[in-house]
Amino acid sequence: MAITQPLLISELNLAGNPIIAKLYCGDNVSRRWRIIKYIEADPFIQVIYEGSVFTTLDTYAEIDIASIFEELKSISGISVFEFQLNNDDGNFTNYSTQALSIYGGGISKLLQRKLAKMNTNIFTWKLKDNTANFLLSTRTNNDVLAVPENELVPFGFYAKGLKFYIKSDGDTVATFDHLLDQDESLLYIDFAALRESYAGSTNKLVSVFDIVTDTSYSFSVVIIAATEQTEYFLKFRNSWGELEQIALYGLLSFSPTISEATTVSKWDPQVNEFVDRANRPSISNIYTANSGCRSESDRLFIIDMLLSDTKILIANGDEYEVKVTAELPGVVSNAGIPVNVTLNIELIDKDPYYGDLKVESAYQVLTKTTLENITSGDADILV
Amino acid sequence: MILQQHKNIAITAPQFMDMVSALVSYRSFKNDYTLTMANFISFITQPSADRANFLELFNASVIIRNNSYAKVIYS
Repeated sequence: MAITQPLLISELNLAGNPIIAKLYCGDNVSRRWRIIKYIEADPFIQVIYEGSVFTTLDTYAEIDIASIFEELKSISGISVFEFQLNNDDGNFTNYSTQALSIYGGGISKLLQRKLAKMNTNIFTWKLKDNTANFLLSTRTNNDVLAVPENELVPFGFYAKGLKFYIKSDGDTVATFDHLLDQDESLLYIDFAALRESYAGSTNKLVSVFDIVTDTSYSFSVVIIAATEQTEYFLKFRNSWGELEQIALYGLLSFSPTISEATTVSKWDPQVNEFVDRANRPSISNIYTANSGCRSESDRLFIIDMLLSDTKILIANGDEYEVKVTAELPGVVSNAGIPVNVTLNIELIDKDPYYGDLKVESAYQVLTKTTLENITSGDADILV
Repeated sequence: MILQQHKNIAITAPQFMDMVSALVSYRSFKNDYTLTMANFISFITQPSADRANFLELFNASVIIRNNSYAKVIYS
């Protein structure tokens, strides 16, 4: 095999999955390689990582450089670098080069295998295909993205190279044309805002948005009805590093666990001996909540939430970082019947002290309202 | 009850093709003729028992679309 290209590495990569660089230097030759980032200020380039590689005749050395981009994997976004392989022993004046775009997030091995079988990759299959569902939501990769109205968050997408229209009831609601973009960008579509502004201008309130290209249909976003009001939500970073939201229904039941008190030996001068003294035990704040009835694809979305490293409980507008577990047999059941998944939510903070949050009591609210009514209706009573 | 989930068929949130007449009905439902379109949009886009009652009183037709979800259109 004659090796013509000393450097083989794909330009578009996900930070959470292996990024394989194939390097060739020659027969029993060692060369330096480096990853640089162009910056505007002096000295114009910043060396992110430098390494060396050794190859023998007719073989590429394969290295996985994903761990260099470890910090980029949990949050969506794009970082652009350049990979350089030195062609001689000099100081990177003669080198082979490849631009590297690293996107936040990652995909499962299951999907990687499926894509490999189809001889494609996630960028061609989803993120850069404007005839596919290219939104950074893990609710589904299918062509109907159904979102309950109280879980609707702005959906992100990587815009470079995409051109599409959002249509509803036959009208074009919005147009996106990024075919000629020079740089990659992460943009968002806020369907709730789009729905309201469209209602304001056309007197139609729609819940189905079709995303289409010049020649074909891509996918639909369907806002589905939420039947109950709730003050509790779980916000989390999905596999793409985007924030999504799940509504929790029913009362959040609180079942605190208090750790067993440990003791420490302390010198007691009265008895001239070491005696045991109790430490303060810690409280774990554990809540149980229901996910509400979920379809099969939504239950896979709940699995993505369970796998997330950033989970936040929103309770009455306040946010708390939490750990979440669920009874998995209920989550993965595939009988096609919506299942109410029970989630166990534990606040990250374990605490040896207790501090009550100040919450306005119903009595206080009533009294305040009555007093305000008195003052506003008959202003001189309290003067 | 109009709004419900049945098996895997998700029913869309309310769709109104004529918001002006829907607003008229909303005003009479609330018995408040000063309510604006903005008031109605914020009422109809948030789930509540009141909204469910309003929708039940309103004419509704259900169309199954693509066999994957149902579309509820109020006209």
